[in-house]
Amino acid sequence: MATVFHDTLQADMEQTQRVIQTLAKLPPELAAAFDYHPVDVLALQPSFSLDELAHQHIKSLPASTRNTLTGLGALEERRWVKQHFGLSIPENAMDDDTEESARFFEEDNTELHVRSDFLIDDLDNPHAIRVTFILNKHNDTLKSQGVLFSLREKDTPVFRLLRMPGLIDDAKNVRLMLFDADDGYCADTLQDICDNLETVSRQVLAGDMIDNRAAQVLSAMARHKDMWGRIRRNVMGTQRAASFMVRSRLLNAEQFEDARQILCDLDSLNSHTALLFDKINFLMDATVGFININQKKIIKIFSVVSVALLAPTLIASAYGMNFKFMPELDWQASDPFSIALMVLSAVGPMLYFRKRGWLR
Amino acid sequence: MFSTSAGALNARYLAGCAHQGLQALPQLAALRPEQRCEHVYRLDAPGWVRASRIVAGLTLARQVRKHHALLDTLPLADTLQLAINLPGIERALAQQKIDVLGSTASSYTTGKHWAFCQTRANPGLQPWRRPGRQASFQPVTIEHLMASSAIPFLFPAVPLLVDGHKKYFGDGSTSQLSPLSPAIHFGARRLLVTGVVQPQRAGMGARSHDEPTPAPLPATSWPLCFTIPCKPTWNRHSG
Repeated sequence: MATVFHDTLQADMEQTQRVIQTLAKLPPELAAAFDYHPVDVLALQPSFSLDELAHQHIKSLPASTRNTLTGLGALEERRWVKQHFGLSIPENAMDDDTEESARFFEEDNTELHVRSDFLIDDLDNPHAIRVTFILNKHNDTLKSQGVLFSLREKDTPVFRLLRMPGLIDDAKNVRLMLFDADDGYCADTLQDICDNLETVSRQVLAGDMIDNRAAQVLSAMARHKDMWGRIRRNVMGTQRAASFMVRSRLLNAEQFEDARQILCDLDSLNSHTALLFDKINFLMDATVGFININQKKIIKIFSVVSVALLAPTLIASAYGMNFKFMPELDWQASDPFSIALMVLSAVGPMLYFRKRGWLR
Repeated sequence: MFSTSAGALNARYLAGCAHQGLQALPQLAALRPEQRCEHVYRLDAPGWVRASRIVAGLTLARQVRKHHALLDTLPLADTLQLAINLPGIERALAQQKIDVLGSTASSYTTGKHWAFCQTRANPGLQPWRRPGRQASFQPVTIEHLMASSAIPFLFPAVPLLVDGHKKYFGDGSTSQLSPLSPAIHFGARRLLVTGVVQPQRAGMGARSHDEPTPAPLPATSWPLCFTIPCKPTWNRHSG
């Protein structure tokens, strides 16, 4: 749309300068005869492309405008990048490949492609976002040279953690700093898991684990283990990406040292995740053990009750037999006697079980 | 102070605060970031227009039928009413803080480029008429600002009364051949000009050798088609 408007201002200023120069060359008496006078012009022009500025604020457009422009296909960023930077973004740039050759490779036109997953530590819905980085380092015929392009479906915390990326002069530094920020983010998330595990661990080791609490602990443990798996995957992905950058031989000595440091950090993070894995497994086993003990207690109570009631049942069965001759039939105290006998035969085994410690 | 298109709002705001001197500049700078698209135009489009180009096209066609343009600029009129201090402009002219305040617009009816100038009671000057452009002395109202910033196709044309007739006007920068001439005509000897010539335009990448998409072709060629290059230009710098 900007091309509709002619920039006639510069042409008019040039004309003005020409007239002024012509007037200056005329004899004063002749110049005074014309209805012209010299004009000093100071022109202020934008130092930044208004189109690029506008493009940065597309998200501030009202939803109805954005929807309409999207419907018309005017907000296709891929096409804008192609027009403005000459960079062709492959259709499969966001594919979920795991093999090394599909995630880290160099195109024939020397573009470097790196696909990494970045973690989103959302308690309700933890997930990873695939981010594709494209860097044209060598091809100076394109405006994309030296610009790091990142493709992602939504913003990730790691990108927000990167402070003042506009002040970083080298695209490779931006990517290394992103990996570093990702490493830090994973470490923070691991620390959160450790803190939560401490609380859970205190509950488990307190011993008094009723079934409801055990269920809560198991649920929390499952969440932590799921997050642990995601962190582990994220760390391994970042490790592979950083290793690829080291192998690509694009880094200078300082960047190489940074990348090596990031790899060391990722290694130590890996060891930490292994430790955490053991702790989570131990706590899960302990919780499951407590649940088993609780179940055994219930079974024991059932067993005791059934054994204790065996003798009264036998007595009741004996007196319930319909024989013609039974000495207690004419005895006045026969009924209270039989009841007392049944109570005693039930209490007796119970006292015996208690004495042996089987009821604890 | 002469202005065109979106700059008309800036000039008019500064003129309204002319009695405050340079304090008006930071006030203007503070005003602009507060303005959002919702303060300028309205587009009634449901969320599902993003699904298809046909649906989006039909929605825009409905807008055009309703507002005679793609966007409804009623919010801009409200914004200007709130932002511009019209009595302040009258006062600045009367107190000779400023000599003349003008804005330009392009007439859809005649194809001419008009400079609307508001001066104090007796300026001692007559409106001028040049090939392709003309001046008119009249109070510059909110409608003039709306006309000056009415981008073709996007914003509706604005009717203004000139020479006793109602004529429709659009953005002042579309067919503006000599933006400095109104100021020079009023005898200016030192000009401070704020333009929007961009260092580089998107879609016109310096090192892009790709064939352009169909969109920029009409946008570039239309104004070129309708600009008459043989218009006499020798009288530009007498104003």
